[in-house]
Amino acid sequence: MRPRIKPCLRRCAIWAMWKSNAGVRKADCGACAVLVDGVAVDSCLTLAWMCEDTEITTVSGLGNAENPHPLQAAFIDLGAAQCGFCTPGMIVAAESSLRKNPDPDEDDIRGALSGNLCRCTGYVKIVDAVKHAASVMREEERKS
Amino acid sequence: MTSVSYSDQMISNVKRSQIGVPAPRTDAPGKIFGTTPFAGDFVMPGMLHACVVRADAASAKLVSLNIEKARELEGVACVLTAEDLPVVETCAEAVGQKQEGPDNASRCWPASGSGITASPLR
Repeated sequence: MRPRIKPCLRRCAIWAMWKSNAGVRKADCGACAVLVDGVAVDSCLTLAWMCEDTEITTVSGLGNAENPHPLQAAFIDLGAAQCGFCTPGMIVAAESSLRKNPDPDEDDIRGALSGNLCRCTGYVKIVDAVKHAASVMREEERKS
Repeated sequence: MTSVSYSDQMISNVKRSQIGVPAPRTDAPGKIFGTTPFAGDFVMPGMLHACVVRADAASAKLVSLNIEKARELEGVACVLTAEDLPVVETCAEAVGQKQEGPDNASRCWPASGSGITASPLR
């Protein structure tokens, strides 16, 4: 089996790992999503060699406590993380979609996050947080 | 004297009431910046990895198991089958009763505390 970036990154989804071990190799939950050159992909399905000469960003690379990404700040302020297992994938998927569509409505956000499952079912706050972060990011963009 | 200090304490508690006041979750930053370790992130000394091998045929009858090749694979510490589970005759310490099974097998599903008798291969 060829190495995938999922084990390389050690941030993986139990479901996706189970599926890929079973040979189905079909992303289920999106919890392992990372940005490859700014586009969200499921790392459980992405072979390491496919990422040669690309830039891989995980949620840790988007920001930190001193300098949080607007999405991370919104997730904290609006209580969008419960158990937290889906959170990195949610933030990464939202970042990827906001780069394409900086002014999404609720349907757009739900569509962009449709590949990410939250088993705490805290979707409402996640959508609220992405909506809030999008407005913050548009405001930052306008000022700069 | 005691009642005075109690009431002071109560007043300061009332002023610090959190009811109706949004409070940030103390565990949120670690989860959101990707620093909180989840169960799959822990590495213990001497840790082994387990893999469940399921039948690739649905609604089939399991006639026999051949695990010799799996046992001989490099890096395989042990292969466990149903035979390695303790025989549980009564359901007092088990999670439920099996509907049917071979005569020499457990009549009940073992509970998590029942213990596994197999030791890793040498």
